[in-house]
Amino acid sequence: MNLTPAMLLLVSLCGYAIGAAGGMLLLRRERPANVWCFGVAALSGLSGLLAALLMLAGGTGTGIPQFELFRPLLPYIHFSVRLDALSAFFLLIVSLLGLAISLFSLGYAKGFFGRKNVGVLGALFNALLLATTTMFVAGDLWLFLIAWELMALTAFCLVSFEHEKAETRKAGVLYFIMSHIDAGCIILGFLLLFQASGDYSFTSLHDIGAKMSPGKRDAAFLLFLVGFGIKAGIVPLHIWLPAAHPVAPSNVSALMSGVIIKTGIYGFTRVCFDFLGTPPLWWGVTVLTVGTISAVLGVLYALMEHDLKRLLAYHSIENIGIILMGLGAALMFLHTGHPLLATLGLIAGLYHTINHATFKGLLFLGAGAVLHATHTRNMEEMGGLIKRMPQTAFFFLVGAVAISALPPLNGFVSEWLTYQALLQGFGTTESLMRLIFPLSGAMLALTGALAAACFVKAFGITFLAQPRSAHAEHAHEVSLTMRLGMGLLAAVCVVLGLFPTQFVRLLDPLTQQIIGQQLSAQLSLANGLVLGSLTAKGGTVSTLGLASMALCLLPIPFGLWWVFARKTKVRRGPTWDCGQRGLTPRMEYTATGFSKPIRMVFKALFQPHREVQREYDFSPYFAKNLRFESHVEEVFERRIYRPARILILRASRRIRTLQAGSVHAYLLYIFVTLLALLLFAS
Amino acid sequence: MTTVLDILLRLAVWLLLAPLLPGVINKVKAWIAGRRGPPVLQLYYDLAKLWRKGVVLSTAVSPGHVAGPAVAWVAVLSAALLLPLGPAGTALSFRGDALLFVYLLAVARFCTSCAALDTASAFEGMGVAREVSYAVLAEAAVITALLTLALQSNSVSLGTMLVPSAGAGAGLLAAGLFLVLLAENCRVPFDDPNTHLELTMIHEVMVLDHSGPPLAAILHGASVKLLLFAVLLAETVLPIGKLSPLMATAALAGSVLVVAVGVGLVESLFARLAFRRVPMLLTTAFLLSLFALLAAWKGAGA
Repeated sequence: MNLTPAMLLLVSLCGYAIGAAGGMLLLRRERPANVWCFGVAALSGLSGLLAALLMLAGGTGTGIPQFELFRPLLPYIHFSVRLDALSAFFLLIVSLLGLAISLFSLGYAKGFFGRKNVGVLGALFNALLLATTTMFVAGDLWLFLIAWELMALTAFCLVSFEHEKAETRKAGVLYFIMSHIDAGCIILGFLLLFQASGDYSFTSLHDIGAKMSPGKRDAAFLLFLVGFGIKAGIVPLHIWLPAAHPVAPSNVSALMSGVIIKTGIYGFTRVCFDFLGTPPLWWGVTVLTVGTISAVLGVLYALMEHDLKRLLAYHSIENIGIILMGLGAALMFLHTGHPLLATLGLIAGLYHTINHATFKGLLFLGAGAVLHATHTRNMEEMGGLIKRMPQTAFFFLVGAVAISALPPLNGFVSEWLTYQALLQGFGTTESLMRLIFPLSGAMLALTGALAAACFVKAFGITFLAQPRSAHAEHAHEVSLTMRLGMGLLAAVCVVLGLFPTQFVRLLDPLTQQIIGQQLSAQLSLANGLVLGSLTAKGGTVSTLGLASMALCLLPIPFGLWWVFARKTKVRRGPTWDCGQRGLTPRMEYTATGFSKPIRMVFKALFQPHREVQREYDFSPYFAKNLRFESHVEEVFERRIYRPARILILRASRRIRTLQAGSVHAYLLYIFVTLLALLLFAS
Repeated sequence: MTTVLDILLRLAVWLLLAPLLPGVINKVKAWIAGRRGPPVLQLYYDLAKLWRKGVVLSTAVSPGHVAGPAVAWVAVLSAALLLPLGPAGTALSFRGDALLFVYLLAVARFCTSCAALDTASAFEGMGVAREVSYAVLAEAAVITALLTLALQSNSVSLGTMLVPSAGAGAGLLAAGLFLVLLAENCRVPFDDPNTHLELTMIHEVMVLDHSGPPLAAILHGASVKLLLFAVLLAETVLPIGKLSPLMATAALAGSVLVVAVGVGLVESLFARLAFRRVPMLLTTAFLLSLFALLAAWKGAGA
């Protein structure tokens, strides 16, 4: 029997649906519910993964699988599913993450036994995967919007899963509001497109921008930027992200940071590169600027966090920024008529998309494992976990190295490609581009260095040194399935890092479909061992070569040690304590202390709040009690969102007087409205 | 065969010459202070001694602890192999990538930082916090400097971008890179290699609990890094590619020596900065590189 992508995709979609239904049926039996829901989700993810790989590896020759859902049931509405290369790429991401996270969840959900209903969790988890997958493969506006809304609602339910905590409820409501603002923007944007095309299918919307007036096209672009931007978490629309991602159960956080925010990137890529046609220059400039700002601010706020999951959430904002830098560069190159360079930018952005999905998924799973073992998200109470959970520590380290863009892992490859895309802009004639590209390059450099600093902190404070609390002291290694989920993603990080040219080949059908160019042949040099950039003067890099060189060099220091000092003994002694006898974990450097130098450098941005209270009897030098408080509040919260909230509440209080509870008054309103409408229409 | 020999020869040059530089700096400092000072080859003696010593590991460290210094040493050495060596160009005729160069140095920093945090010492935590914070600004300055060279030479490979001189922004770039060299290698005014108070150290405090061969790897790696920045600075400013091979070698060696003497002079004549002022000086380096970038942009646009 021949397996076709369409069949595998259908199996995957049905699998998620069956998984969700099973969860609802097994509400009262948590163990079977756990195995059923997450087992089925893992298998469905595997099936989707195969579908996507078959589709992408098939190259440009394969046709685009298309079929309609519920055909006999709904005679008038067509729900068409269409798996083109762009959809297949995002299907790859959601299925890969779905598989790994489901494996992890098999062990992780046991933490909820007896406390929460695992059947509900599993059913919602499957429903979220179903909605997201459907959204990626939707072939018309109806199915896209319904799946989009379903995704927002299930994600809201999952964020609020532990709703007995006030923090969670607050974050859930914020997420709910923001996701409806974004849905509103997207619906308006699509209405503008529909006006020009008169048809709902995505094929009819292709290059529809050419038929629209420039004003409407720009309006649609802005609506999509805001709508998809909220979902992706760009600054300053990111406000929900650092609130919602940490409070969700960790497997859901991994899914949200890995996949759900990428739906914004998918929508944006689909709309900008497929529908809206050749962009004006300012679109690219806007996207590049927004991306740069998101990258720098995201990582700066991440550094200030000592809640492990909030720290990771802020890093998602940073990485979305880096993705948008690649996409923005691509839009600008499309404007200047350099399709090859645009393809390079697009490849950089999409490569970083899948990379971020893998390492951020991995890091959130790692954080989940730590949370599972220590019952705290606060880094100040961690430490020494590398000795208690060595495998989790190793996987987290792989993720940390990857997200810090250190060679030879995957984060380095995609940031390198982003740099190349920006550097190629030097050769263009547009003066603005010649200035904005190097400046964004410099900001990308700053971002990379800050991210590395942040992950020295995240890994060092969490896993190294001595445990800072009893929670950390009694931590234990997590179960096999949880380690399997993390190990799978860690392996993908390594493979995507070492074999970039082979992966870029998978993107060929995608770029061919969107821009009409294929780059993999030009990017791969020396039989695919070396990743090149487009021009002869561009850079070349070989992560595989670097890794093998490092493996050749690494025996040298150990060999020297063996040659000269093999007769000597390795002794163990206490850490240097100035002869004071006995360091305690309380004396270790804290996460807050670690970020102090950077807090001071960027004082103008952070405006840290700092309060010291002393209680003393006779002299302030002999304090009895000392209370120190320090926190950093986001400038957007203070300057934009709080005033806006106050304004909205005040306005709604005024408007409330309209709702007097009297039928007569309501009839009057209806009459006046009708009159106004009739006058307007005539 | 020749390529293997070529790489081995380069390795030897970097490994054997690097410990000379700190010796030169210390000699300059001693002369200015009117002392005789330690011999120029002192670091060689120290390394020979350390490689033969036993290791004392802290009871707090994790099993992977010694991998930190080793990987850092390898990363610095790999970065060194990417730099073109005067007339000899780059190894493997590989067009050494400028970004890979900077990110390899970041790998080294990541490893030494993690190894230091592993010891559970407050001193080392403090040192790491300072090291990574200053590195943020220094790394941004280096990449901006390299972007300037890229804009100038229309190429991002170290092999070609370092061949011509830096042109209009040469002075700015040299000043910026010299500041970065001082910061990245923990010299005065950013850090004082001679201090004996743990609270005021950066680099020295991070290696407090390292001993024997791992400490040797760290010290040796640090000297390679110093040479690396000196060579980068020299090749940025000098039009190495335009000279005859003999002249180029002489010019390169001479200017590296000049840089070392300059570092010695700075160490003798300036006091170290208060910690809160350090970021300002590093921001200055970043801005100098940015100005050089603007100069290159204007120059190329005209």
